Amino acid sequence: MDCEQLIPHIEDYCDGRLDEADRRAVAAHLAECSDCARKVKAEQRWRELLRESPVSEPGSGFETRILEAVHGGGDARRRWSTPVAGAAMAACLVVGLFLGTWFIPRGGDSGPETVVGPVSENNVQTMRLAFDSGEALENVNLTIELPPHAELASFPGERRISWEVDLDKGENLLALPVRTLFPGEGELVARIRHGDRERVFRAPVTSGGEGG
Amino acid sequence: MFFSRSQARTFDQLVKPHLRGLYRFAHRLTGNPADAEDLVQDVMLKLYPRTRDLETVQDLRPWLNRVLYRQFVDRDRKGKRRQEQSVTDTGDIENHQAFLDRYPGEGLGPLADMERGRAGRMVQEALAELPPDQRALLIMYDVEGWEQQAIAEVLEVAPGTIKSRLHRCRQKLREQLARRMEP
Repeated sequence: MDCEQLIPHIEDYCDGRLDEADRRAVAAHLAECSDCARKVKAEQRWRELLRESPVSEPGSGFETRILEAVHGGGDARRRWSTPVAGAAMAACLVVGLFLGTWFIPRGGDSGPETVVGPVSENNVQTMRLAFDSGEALENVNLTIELPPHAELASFPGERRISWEVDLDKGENLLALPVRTLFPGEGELVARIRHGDRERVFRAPVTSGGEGG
Repeated sequence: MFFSRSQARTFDQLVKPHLRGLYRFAHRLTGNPADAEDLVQDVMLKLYPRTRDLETVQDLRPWLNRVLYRQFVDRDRKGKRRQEQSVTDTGDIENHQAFLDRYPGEGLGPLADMERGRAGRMVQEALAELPPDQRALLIMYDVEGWEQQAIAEVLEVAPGTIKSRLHRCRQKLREQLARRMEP
């Protein structure tokens, strides 16, 4: 094996993927050719340095932090906290007796709402809704529609999403991270459907920088 | 998102055992703890409405890694607003063998005996310069030591193509390193 023939084998040699005959041939060449031996050593070194790149364990309470943020019940992440318009979630949801009752959790319509948003460039606010069902229900269809200036933070570009849920008897919670893309006003529309019954609820969505 | 408490419990039970592994993968991809945690949280927010899908997945770990990888690549591309050649693009067959025979490692010799700290920084910088999908492939294979089959599942490509894709990514890294070696 000469230097030219060695080149296509360098990766496999370093990966330990050469068959025995080729491995011996490469090793024999490397023993005689300091230039090629240096190439192979450099190849092995960058791989070794790459493997040694540090990665830390997450901080304490990581799992709790993540899951609470997902459920909408925990504090937003350190980098996500900013004040937001208290009117973001105004009390204009229709209260009904159809499947149950929608209501705004305590404090949702009075004080500043928690805002979550991945970086300073985008405003993301968590809109919290709650639904009190008189009975446990399966296969309930929930559709969320947002105005043109907003999107669901976890579904960039999506302003309408629909999915099936099961409802417990009693309180069921909805926490929607909504990103406002540009100043504007509009409504979040929540449609909940079970069988041939449907209810529609509406709440205003304002840009995060407005009001207070 | 909207769930009954029982569904929320199901979600937590499904994903909690995998959160730390996802964080480590995310940390490798993003390069820092804050972005890693953001990325994991974004993935969880995205998956929450899909709890029923999660329940049907036999092996959640690669499935979750795949979702995290897609989220990372999408977010990075959206953030930087750049068009990059995808790792899935391996070119035509005629050029492929010539590509495999090329080895831009000629200038890497000094790396063999460079001071460790400096060499390590150089490698990290070179890695960070790669497009996200190429960086991810090197991390999965050369850093984390995943099997090619597992990587293929994450990338959603044929396992037989991983080697050539890996070769392309390594070439890019060598080119970045060689550029840093130039006087």
